[in-house]
Amino acid sequence: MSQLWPFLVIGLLSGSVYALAAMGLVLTYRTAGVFNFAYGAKAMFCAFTFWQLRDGWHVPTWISLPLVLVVVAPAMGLAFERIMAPLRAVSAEVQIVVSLGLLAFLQALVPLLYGGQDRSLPSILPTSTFGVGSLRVGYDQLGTLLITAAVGGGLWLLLRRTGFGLAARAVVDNRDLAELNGIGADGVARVSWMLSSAFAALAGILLSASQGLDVYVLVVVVIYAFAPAVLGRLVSLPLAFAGGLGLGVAQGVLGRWGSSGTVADVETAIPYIALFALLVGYGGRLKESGRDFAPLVHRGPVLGASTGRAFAWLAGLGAVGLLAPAVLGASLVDDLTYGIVFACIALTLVVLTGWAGQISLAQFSFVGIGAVVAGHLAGPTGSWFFPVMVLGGLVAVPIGLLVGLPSLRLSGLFLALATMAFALLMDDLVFARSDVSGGYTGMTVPRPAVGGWRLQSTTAFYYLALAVLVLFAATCIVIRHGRLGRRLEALRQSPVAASTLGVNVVATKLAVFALCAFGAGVAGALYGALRRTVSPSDFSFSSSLQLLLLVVIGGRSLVAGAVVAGGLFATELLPSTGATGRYLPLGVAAAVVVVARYPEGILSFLGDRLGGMTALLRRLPAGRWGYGDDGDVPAAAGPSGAAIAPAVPSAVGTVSP
Amino acid sequence: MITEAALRAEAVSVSFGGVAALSDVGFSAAPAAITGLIGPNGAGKSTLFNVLCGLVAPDSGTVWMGEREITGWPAHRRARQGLARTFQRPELFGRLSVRDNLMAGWEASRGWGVMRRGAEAVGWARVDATLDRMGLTQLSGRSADGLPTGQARLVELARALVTEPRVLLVDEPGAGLDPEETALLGEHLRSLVADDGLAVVLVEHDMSLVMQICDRVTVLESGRRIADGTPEQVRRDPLVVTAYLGEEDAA
Repeated sequence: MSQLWPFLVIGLLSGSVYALAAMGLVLTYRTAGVFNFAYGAKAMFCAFTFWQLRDGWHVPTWISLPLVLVVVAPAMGLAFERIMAPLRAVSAEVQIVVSLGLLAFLQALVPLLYGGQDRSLPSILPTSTFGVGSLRVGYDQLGTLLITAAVGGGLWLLLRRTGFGLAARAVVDNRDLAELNGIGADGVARVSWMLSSAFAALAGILLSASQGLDVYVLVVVVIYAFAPAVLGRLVSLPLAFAGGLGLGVAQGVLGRWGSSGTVADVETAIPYIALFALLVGYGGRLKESGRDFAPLVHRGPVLGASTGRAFAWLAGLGAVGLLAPAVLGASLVDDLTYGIVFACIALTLVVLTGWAGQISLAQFSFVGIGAVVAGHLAGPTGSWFFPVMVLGGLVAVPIGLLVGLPSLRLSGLFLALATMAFALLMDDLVFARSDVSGGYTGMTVPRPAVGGWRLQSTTAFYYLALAVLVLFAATCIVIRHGRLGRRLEALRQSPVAASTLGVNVVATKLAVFALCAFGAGVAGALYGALRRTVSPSDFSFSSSLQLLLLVVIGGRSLVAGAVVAGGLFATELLPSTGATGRYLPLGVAAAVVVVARYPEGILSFLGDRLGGMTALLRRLPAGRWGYGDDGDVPAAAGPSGAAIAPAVPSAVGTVSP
Repeated sequence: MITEAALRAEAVSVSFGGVAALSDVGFSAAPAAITGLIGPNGAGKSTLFNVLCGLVAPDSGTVWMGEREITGWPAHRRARQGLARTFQRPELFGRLSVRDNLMAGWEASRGWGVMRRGAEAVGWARVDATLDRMGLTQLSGRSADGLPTGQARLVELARALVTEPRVLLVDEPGAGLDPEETALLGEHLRSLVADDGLAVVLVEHDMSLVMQICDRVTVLESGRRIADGTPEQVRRDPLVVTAYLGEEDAA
């Protein structure tokens, strides 16, 4: 014990910043009903802004720090509120996608504003140390703990002892009733967005002193705070506070075993393990802030039995694909191959998220499994590639079932969080291991060879990828128009009605997760062989996130949406000089934010905006694929959200145990 | 009498967060009859429906279909055993056509049976026959999204029927219908009972419809059963009159 207590103290000190961040998350979820996935990005943005002010322009700390905390961060909070408020009554899926889009937007914006290189942000607190027994404690660590305690206490007082607190608690309890009693719920939401942004900024500035200032690292480290927030079921501030400290202690105590490989990995993965375990453990007791969501308005005709036209488009695409290498140079063919393999992976997400309604932020973990299996077993010349490709898919299936497990009792937000936690813990625990994936030096995946026929060249591999895409797309078209398509649609639109008709919801959900994991695993072998050398960062959570965002733009309920996503991915790879390359990621992220509520993606969004284009749209492939011939277009809701019908409490909502 | 019931519940109790929704409630529905389930708002009708079809697990008590106890069964297993229901707010699959909605229902109720050769043709034939019987053939290609309430209720009823149930639970089918549509609905329900021998359980606020088409009526109030009998007996029951004071006038 005597050797343990220093680690307890260190843990408590480092945990306090998680506690700070977790309280900010809980605040907006409670009062505004939005879980902000972009919270870490906000922290990162504010930390960069602070760096620019203090270290870049040499504005003294006593000016630059208040400027960030009182002006910049609250202004961002207001901007978020403006974007998220109209989505309050729209489906959880849209809220999640929009906040993920904002995350990507900030990640793309920071390099444009402040330059992309990593930098260090010296602590705002004195870094000298003092002795407590044998332990040296930094004043900055102690300061962080004191700040967190003061902020936590202040927040508690604000909610318990002030008029704003009363109004906020009334809004949390029953928004409509509060509004009837003259409480401005929007005003309360605005204030809490501003406060929570300031929390994020403070956490970001404190964290980057130890973590460094980086567009990606800080975003992921702030995800540590998600676990304590979920411990408080996203509503309890004291539990979020205690959870943050507890998390730090758990990490500190594990740190006692020091830098021995395995344990060190576990130490960084603990917050994700905790998050996944909490979500699975809480299960059905987690309720999204109580309201009924209006269903998404789908444009385009109903699903029909006619697959002819979809196959005709697919054949056309295949034919164009066959001719492409004759026209394009080798480098472009290579980029195109990336797009095609990406489209294969995207198809698995279309089935899982667009059709079955299960959000996954872990799809690239399955890609990684496929690639790693191929790297280990395909043989030095790739002679075993094809059997191993199928094997990679099969290996991914049980992992897919594991990820699907939370979906049995969780939906929407909590399922997205669980899959995100899973992706992050796969990154840290599995893909980071050198015996699994070659670690950060990477691992070689051979291109296939069958007999004397070697698919090494760029063009040969391109044709292989094209064939796999056509196979995947054809399979999806058959699924969409057949029995399974009807069943998935039933599952997505009304799991309750589906179950009372005889659909085994548990088995169907698990089967879809397994099927999509299989597809991603198979595509993963192809992805590995395309890259030739893979490293853990190729399958990271960021990749899964990018996949989801591109599929949303392309249209998550369309086979063609996956192809558009692949095209966007290939475009991002193009040698870009000047503005295009720098602004493309920003444009993509911004597009996600506006397109999120259109399941048919960007073309449907444009069609809605440019009224007259609708007719044209119907003749484009994106308007067709996955649909039959019926020309009946349901009335479109306006983009303002005003046209969404008020949701009537359903029997389902009121009785679910 | 009790052994003849197509569906029955014995001594069912359910509470949500300490609030009793149902206390020791017994209920039975006979084959070839319409059993009305009525009571003021909050009486526990919807909860009892959810217990019967397997969406809510009772804290205590048992549920039976015929001779078979189904208390712990999940909803989908009950459905495949011949229990179907509709919802207060129609739960249609909006992205599917009316015809595909029915097909989805038929396939769901058949479980692995849909894998059999020729099953699909059998299913479509069954779907088309059901659409014809309910007078919905002209809607078959329409998207289920945006159907007017009256038609949506009929489509949902058709989707329940296509599963060939022995017991049909209908939740407030008259809500949002005009008198003509209500009369049509009553005829459909009566013909199901007369021609197919279905056991129909009806939750309904429209008292005239209940009194007109039900063979028996069970009355719930505050989670307890306060009366059970023919419509005539129930109408005269002093407990029921007290529970419905003011509402009875409208009937």
